[in-house]
Amino acid sequence: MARLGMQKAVLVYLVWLGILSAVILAVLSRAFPIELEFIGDETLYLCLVEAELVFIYFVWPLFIPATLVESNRVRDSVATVLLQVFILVLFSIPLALLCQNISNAGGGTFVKANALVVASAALVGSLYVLARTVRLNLQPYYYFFLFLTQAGAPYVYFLVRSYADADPRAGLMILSPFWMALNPESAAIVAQIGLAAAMATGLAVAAMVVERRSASWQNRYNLPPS
Amino acid sequence: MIALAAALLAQLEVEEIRPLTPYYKKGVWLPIIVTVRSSAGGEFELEARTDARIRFVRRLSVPSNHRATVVLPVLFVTGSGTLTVGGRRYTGPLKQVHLPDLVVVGPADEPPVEIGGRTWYQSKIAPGEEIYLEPYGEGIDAALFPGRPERAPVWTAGGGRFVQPQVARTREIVNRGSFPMFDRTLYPLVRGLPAPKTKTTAAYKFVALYFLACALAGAAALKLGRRLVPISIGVVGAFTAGFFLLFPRALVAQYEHTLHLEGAAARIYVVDSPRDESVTLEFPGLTKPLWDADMTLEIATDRTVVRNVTLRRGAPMIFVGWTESAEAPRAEFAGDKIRNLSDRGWRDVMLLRPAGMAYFGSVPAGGEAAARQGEFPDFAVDIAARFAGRDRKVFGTFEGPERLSVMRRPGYTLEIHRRPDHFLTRAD
Repeated sequence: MARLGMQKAVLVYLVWLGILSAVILAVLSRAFPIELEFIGDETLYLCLVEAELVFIYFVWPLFIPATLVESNRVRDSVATVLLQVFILVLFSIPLALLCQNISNAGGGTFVKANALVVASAALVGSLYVLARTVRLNLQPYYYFFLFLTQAGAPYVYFLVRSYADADPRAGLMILSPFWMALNPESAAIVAQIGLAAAMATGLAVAAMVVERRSASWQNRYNLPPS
Repeated sequence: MIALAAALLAQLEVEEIRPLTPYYKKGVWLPIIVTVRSSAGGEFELEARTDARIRFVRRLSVPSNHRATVVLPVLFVTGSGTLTVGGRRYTGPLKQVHLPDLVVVGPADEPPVEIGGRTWYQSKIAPGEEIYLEPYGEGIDAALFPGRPERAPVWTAGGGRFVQPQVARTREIVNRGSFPMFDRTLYPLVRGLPAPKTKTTAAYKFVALYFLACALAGAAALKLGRRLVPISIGVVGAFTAGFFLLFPRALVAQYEHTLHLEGAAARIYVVDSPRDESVTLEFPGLTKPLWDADMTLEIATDRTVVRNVTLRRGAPMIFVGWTESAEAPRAEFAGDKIRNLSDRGWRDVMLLRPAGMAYFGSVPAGGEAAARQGEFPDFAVDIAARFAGRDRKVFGTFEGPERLSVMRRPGYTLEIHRRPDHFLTRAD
């Protein structure tokens, strides 16, 4: 069982590195069928951060339930998630340094972008830990919510901008880490990092409270542990 | 070291300084043919100074008690025309000319912009910052940052006609869109010599090696059990350390644009630095800066080394060179053409071509000139490009009181005929 978990963990890291490496090579080689103005050497680091966020929000949730199978308690689940986030970010550091070098990105950008990735990963991981604690199949709800925010927000943005002659970008940006990652110099990214970290902490605490109440309820009625 | 160099320099006597033509154009290469002699022999560094702040340097080797003739291209930035080579001042005729009648032919699918009777192309070198480039003669003679008039070029091919009202006019067309006419590639950080490695190549290798190492680490972790964390830290630490030790620093970004023109292409290098720094750069072929600044241009046969140039944060420098276009037709300067020259009253013919410069000597009436190949074998295309005409007929003729030279540039259909006199009579 432990070996199975290790295989999945290694698979997660290799998929993570494979996606990041592919993005770097594609951007550097400009292997795109059409000319994309945003894609360039000077934006390589932002492209890497976007790829990291895509993995964290869209790919990693497919692996999280299997990762948490061996964790019986919320504390173990949180530790497993945080360890995986730590190793994911650790593996990405050499690639991030490479991209930062080529893009001439500043140290502040580097720190804030990595913090955004860590906070986002912690948020997603904590969400799955809570869902596992309350025995909720989160997958369909999660991806539906992701679709609403990440596709719906830009849609609302374009609708409002087109018909209301207003620019709601600042208000909608907080919903999208992808949008925020494109503006690492802005102060709003710090707010989003803090918000994501706070939500992750809150979800983890909520999972622990639920677990404690559940345990208390089981003890009261002398039920077998779930 | 300096004393030794000075001693060696003192042993090099400059016997003759002969500009290829007695005419020069601001910011455009003028080849200077220099004959030197050394009694002791050895390796020397021949230096030429003009009215620019640039030192033009050429390394040469002269056997003891021998003469050597080298070509050293120089640039002028004002109308003074002062020239000193190896400490000896040139006192011969040297006049500034404008060559406004060269026709510029740009890429067919990109509309150029006419400003003040000149043809400009627009390019984006960085997000939010456009420059206008004017291909002219040998390549790019002027570049303009529309929103930053303080970066207006010192050198303009039109003889300094670039004035503030034209800057204002260019602002009006900034929003015409950026023309995707440049093939931009990330070019290397060039700090040492020679420096053919590029950051892109290094990045490819780094990413591939890192992914391979991580895959092996994962396999090792599976084999050894739950030891993924120490193995991961080891791999990441090794690559992080290797990155800091081996990967070129992000101090100077050098971008290469290629502006494709008819029969040739101009190479445009934008060099930027995130902080003030004195650097050494190397470019292929004969390459010039677009701004007059303190620097040393060491000109070799196949490259130009820019030494001691100070890059300022937020103020990219632009260097331009010239490249042959492989698909352009190459006309041969055959003997019958030379006979035709004699029929037209041409007396002295000099030919520049990639294999080297050939001096055809005097052209006897009705006869064929005897080609003496290799008299100046080390300079060819780049200095000839200065005279490249765009009308597909004449690439440039220069007529002085004593001699007549014809420069041709491969890549153009060669139909020799006499250039109208006004071609050269517009000198100041």
